[in-house]
Amino acid sequence: MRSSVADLAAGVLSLLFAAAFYLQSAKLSGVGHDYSLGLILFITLGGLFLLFRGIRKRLSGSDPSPEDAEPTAYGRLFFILAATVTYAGFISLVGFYIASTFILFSSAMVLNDADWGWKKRTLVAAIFTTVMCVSVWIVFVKFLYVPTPEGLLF
Amino acid sequence: MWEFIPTAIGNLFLPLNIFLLIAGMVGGIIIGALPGLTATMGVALMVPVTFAMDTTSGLIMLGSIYCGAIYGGANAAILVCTPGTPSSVATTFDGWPMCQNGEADKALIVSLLSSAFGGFMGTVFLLFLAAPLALFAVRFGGPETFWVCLFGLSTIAVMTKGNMVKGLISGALGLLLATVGLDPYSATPRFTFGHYALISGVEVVPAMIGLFSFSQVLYLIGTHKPFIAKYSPVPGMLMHVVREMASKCKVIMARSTVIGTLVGMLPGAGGAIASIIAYNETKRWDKKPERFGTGIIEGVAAPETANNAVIGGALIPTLTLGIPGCAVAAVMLGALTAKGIQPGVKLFTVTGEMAYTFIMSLFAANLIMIPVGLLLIKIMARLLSIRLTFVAIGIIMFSVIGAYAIRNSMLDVWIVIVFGVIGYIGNRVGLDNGGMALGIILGPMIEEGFSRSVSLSRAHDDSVLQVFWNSNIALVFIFLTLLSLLTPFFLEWKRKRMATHEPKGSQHP
Repeated sequence: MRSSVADLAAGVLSLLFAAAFYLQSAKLSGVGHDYSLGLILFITLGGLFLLFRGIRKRLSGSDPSPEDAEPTAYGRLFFILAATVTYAGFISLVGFYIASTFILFSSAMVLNDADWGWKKRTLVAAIFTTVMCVSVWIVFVKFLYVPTPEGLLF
Repeated sequence: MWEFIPTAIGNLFLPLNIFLLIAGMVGGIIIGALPGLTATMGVALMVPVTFAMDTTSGLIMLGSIYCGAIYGGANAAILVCTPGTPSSVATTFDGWPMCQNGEADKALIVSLLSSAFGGFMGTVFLLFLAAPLALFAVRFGGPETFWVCLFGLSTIAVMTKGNMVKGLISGALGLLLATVGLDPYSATPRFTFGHYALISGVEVVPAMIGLFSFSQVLYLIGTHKPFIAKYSPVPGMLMHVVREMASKCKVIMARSTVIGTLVGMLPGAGGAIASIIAYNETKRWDKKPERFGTGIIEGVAAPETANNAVIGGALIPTLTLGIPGCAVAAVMLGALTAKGIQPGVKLFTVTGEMAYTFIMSLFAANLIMIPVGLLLIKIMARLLSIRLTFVAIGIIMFSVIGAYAIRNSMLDVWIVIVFGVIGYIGNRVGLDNGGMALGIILGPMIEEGFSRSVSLSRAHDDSVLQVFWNSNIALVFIFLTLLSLLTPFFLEWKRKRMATHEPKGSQHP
């Protein structure tokens, strides 16, 4: 990412954060209000600085594109993000183990090496899912007494 | 004191105590290496088990778990850029780059040896300097705590050299995110964005898992790498690392031990703060600070020495004054009082044999850590030979369990996801996750120190500002904070000056 774009994005994000927190700070009073308002002000000023720095870099043209930019596999990235959000949502409904089985298996199937055939991918994903779920149950629940999340149904 | 030492050493050689030392160490390292399972949790889990033993044996096991867990966090920090415990956040700064450079085994050995050194020397402080240091620690009131934390936060300026504004904004964002929940001053909910569950605030551990672990999963999955990093163990690496550390890290480890012990003594502060301050100080005093973050052993040795030295430091006020220096020390204090033992002078006189056996066991635990750690390193490093996809999905599953285990709340799982996305986007736009983490860790202490100082000024009818620089300790930390903030400018000025004086012919192309 060009540094001017990074500056602009960081500036906008900072300002959005500051605005969201500022809107929530109306009901506050006392020291807590002063403290958080001070932080919001600091972030706003910093965000504005980054915004102007980004614009200045953009206008002056002194912003070469990065040489070693690594391409991002956005498809894989959005899949894992969506899978994790679904996972957290599913846990609340069907419990930890059913949700884990579903997510581990589907993620392993989708994200694994495309060169592997369907049979191999299914077998590996099934083994991986079983090993993970069983070992988590033994180590965390039975040995360490660490609770796993429960859902509405299970 | 000396009359108890021979008996204390003798107690360590009882077969049961040797077994508890080793078992505690293995368990501690494993717990520490699992993201979300903290040293506090490991020690707290084992407290009920100690009720079936005599107090000395119970304390030996708890101490061993504590040492093991703090060290264990470094393994995950180095191998998957996931701090196993908050104390290992700073270890990711150079440990993870070392792993990516194919030097995972070297980084793991450095973390092991420096942890053992820090833990051992921290215990020396506990043994010999407990009383005077404890009296120094109680002089820290609201303003002093505020300045110590601000000094810790000012390290961002050095950590993010070349991009200080983004570093400082990241720190401020962390501080602001730490204010979510109940206002400690007025007990009113704030920044809950309409979600009642957020009234309990943002827990540090899920936030760290999100910022460092889940964001890393997103990054790794977004690459096309088949494995996390290349793992090529080199025969004789242990001796090679020992020699390298002996030549490069002597001063760093000594300084980090002192930092760890002093920070450990302050109630509420802990390994996370100590390790970040130690990392920063190492970077500040280095002749080539730009090497930090690229994967150098000094960047692993400093935080790991400091976070294990915290153990001795945290136990000083715990055992002498009954004021726990950190959460784990508080749990151990609870275990002691449950047995009817009160901290203070009597602990070292009436029950001196038990107290000194415990202290001696900490020495032993740090020595045992080396062979046990070396054995476990070989097993844990195998993680790098597993395909990236499986590791990434596995990390997500462990992150969910670890985050949920903190408060048995699904809110923490969502916090992991949200902070993961924040961390990933932040990384992409150049914001500093380390700075944000520091803000989240230090936020509650800074706000508490600020609120207490304001209350103090109102109670004494002083001006608010006067309270903040009323004591010598506060003045020292104000000076150190200013020094820390000005360091990047000074280094830049020095670099430019050297460049101007350098003859043109000697400049690199």
